[in-house]
Amino acid sequence: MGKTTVSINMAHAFARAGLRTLLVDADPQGSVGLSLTRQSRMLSGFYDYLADPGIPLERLLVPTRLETFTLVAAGQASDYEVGGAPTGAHLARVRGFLRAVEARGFDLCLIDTPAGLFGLTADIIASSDAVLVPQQAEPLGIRSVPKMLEGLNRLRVIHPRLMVLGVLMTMVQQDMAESRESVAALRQLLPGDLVLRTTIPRDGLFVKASARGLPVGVLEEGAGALAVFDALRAEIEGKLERSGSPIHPRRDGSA
Amino acid sequence: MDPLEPWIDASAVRRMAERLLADSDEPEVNPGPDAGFGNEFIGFAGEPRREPAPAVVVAAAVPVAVAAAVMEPEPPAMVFEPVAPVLDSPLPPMSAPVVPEGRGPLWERLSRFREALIRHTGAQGVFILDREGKPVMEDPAFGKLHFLARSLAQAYRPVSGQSGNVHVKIGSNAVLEVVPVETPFGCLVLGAVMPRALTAAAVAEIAEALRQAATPRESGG
Repeated sequence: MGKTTVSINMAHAFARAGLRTLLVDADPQGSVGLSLTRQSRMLSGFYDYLADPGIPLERLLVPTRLETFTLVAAGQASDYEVGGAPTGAHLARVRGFLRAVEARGFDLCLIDTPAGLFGLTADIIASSDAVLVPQQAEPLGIRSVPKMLEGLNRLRVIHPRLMVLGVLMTMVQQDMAESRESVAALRQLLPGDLVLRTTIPRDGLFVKASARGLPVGVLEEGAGALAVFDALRAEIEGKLERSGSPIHPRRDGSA
Repeated sequence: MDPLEPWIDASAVRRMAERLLADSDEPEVNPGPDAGFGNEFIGFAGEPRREPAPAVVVAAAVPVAVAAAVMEPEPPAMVFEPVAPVLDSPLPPMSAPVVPEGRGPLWERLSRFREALIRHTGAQGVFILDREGKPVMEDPAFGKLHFLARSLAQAYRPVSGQSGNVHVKIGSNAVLEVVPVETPFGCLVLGAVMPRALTAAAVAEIAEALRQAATPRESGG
């Protein structure tokens, strides 16, 4: 369970709180779309928008049973046209996409990006207000944190106002010493503001939820997971508020 | 057992982390509309306060966080590496290359510089950018590195009076060396793909060679 699960459930938590939330699958391998909609590979999506200036945002929007929760799938073009493009190549289209999202009246656009800090991911981060870094709570994964910090510092050179929400520890196993020690070591290593207080536990419920194409919070037995992601939502809202960019539902949008 | 201590320089990581949390007073890189990345490039995210910069909507005009990117670190693609010697002997005099039609003496001198650099360092590729990131001398095989080289050069703050460089590992046997050099032609950014990182002495020598190559000759050559 990594960033795709975090993306889906975090977006669901924001949508449940009444924010008009758009979740964009920009990671064809992570496949938010595959997790939530069986037909997602048939849909036009984010990569099609990047590749074809003629596609309107409206054609990409996939509504869900929750009125405030909308998806954009990765799309058909994701496998070849866009992959591997150099950083900067899609900056204009990413920005165009976000302008269209704003004009459509969404309160929050959450983008699940491909791993790494180059190419399209760099373009997306360079166009975003904030970035969250999910990190599995295991020693090998945490050793890559310095590289991640280097990469984010490079991106802050070109986007100084980028807010780093912090590292979110995922797949935490309280019954495993290595997992607990990884969390403790990262908290000791990084400033407190750079590691979210909320942690995401490893839970078989996430597997069950993705099998049914649902955020874990909507499962009958998902109350605990719901509380975790509500806590994450509240923590992120607090960070954005303190940074001067609070999220408030807009009254004039149509999303 | 501490899962991190043997692997991580904690103080260096802490400094990087604190830089990320600090409010940046740095201006946006390249306030101009063209950073040398083609017609599609419209600027960086910080510009949006200007009208009619389209990203205004993303970063400033929207009273909400419009975009929160979620990403995950991948295995290190680039690692700052300790320097190692490369240049064993001074760069020799350069032979005259064939000058393409429409190219002037500056291009000719830079071309000679590039050939010499490749010959004596084993560089797999060499390109030269101006301060805005536009290629003065391209290497088509490494066009994707222009943006990175320019970003690194602009992030780099050389100590006054010293030559300096930034290098990042871009492959198992490849390091991108970025050497910003002040020349009469303006600030030039040398990007060179090397088998391994350069020593400080080699960087100083190469920077001086580039400076000389970019300096107009009184005889017109």
